[in-house]
Amino acid sequence: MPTSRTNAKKCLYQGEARLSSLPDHILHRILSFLPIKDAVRTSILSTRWKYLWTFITHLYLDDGLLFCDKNVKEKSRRFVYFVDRALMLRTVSNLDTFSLRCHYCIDPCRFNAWINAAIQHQVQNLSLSIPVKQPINLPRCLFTCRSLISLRLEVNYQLKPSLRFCFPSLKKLHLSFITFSNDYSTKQLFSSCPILEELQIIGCNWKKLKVFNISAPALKTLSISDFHYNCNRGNPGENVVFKLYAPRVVTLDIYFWARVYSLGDLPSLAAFSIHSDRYSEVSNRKFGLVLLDLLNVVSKTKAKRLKISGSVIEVRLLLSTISFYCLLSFVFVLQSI
Amino acid sequence: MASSSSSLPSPSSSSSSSSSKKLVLRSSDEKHFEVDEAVALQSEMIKQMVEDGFGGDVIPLLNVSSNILSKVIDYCKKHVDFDSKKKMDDRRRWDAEYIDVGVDELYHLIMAANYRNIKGLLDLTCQKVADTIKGKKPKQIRIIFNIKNDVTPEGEQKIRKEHSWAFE
Repeated sequence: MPTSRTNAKKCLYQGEARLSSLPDHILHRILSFLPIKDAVRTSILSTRWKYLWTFITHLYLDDGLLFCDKNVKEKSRRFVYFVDRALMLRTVSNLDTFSLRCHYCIDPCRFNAWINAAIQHQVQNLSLSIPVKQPINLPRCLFTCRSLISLRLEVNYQLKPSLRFCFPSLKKLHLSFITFSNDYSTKQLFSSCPILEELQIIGCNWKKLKVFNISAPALKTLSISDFHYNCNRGNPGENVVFKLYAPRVVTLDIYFWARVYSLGDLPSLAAFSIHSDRYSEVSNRKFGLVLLDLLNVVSKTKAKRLKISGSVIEVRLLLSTISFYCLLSFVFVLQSI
Repeated sequence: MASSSSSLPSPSSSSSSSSSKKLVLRSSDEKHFEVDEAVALQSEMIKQMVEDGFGGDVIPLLNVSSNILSKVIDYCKKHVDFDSKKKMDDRRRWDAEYIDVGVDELYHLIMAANYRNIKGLLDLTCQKVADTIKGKKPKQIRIIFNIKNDVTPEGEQKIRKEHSWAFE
């Protein structure tokens, strides 16, 4: 075996054969597996290779990683020039992944143009991460992009009430730093994803909502957390009624406080965790009662794993009054009493 | 090896699935391979043919020689197993060993995976080529791919300047 392996390696370097005769679409695929820097470097191999890199189907663009300039202005300028060209030179519509992460280059007009271009290339996986406080405006067409299979938004963006949503192919949705401004548009967003299987809402703001309504018939995993939420602005919505319709949900992580949780039927639920410990203004007793209601619902499901964490001591006493249907593991994490 | 794999596999080779439906594939050098339908259907091309009603006949694979077909069938068989067991580590380990081949065989595997439309195998083979050229200098890549450099020094200079960040 070792000799055949060395031979294989030797053969690969001697390049006696015909990798150069592979058709263009396979070379595009090969280049898509390379970091973008390596892919761009192939442009000097020969005239045939000059523009091959512009057909790559995965574009991972991070202004912090691509350029080593210390001067932020120069870094931004070169990044903008490169992304413009990477999208402009594309002549085919088969963009699998467009991932944009910007720390230095904050140019909302450019973002819109790039997102528009990605959508025109029928992008399937779109990820935007712009971790700055400045609110960013996103193009409306993003929310009716039919080709999207997964969407990750880590942007300070307010979902406007007038937005229309249509995500017929979306299976994964991850939202961070988004502000939900209106009950109706929030409900519309989730109900326009008929095949959504995975939903993560982390560090978003739903202070303006009365009812936080998620209706997703195909949903399997749901995780909602206010973990990264800017504490100066208070809780993301302690008076909200959280209403869930997700009959196929298997894993449910609720790391936020709501006035009422209405979870509906959960016939497939296997694991449930709840965490709430940072709200001094919410009395232990009040939390305890809401939690008791919640656990009563969970106790009737087939959930095998349950995790409760928080600073509520009374819950322990209340729990003794519930008998669980088929619980296998139970973790109770008690923090500062 | 080639002769034994090109004959019809003995029934004992897959006793658990002996009752499942079989398909017969014919390589470019006229050798026949009988495989479980689930294995053959890893190929989108064969899936399409079966859906179009050609599953009962011998399926000719004009561009694939028997030794490459036998290797491709190995991949499909193993991945039918992996799909049912969901052991990602085992799959990765097996894939890494499977793809440790010379450039000539790699080329034929890519072409076979492309022709028969087997996405997993095409990704595995393309990833292997990408791993081989990652971080290499243009000169080394030209050798691996057997690429004739027809860019003038001025042309090369121009491209380097345009994408100077990639060549830093």
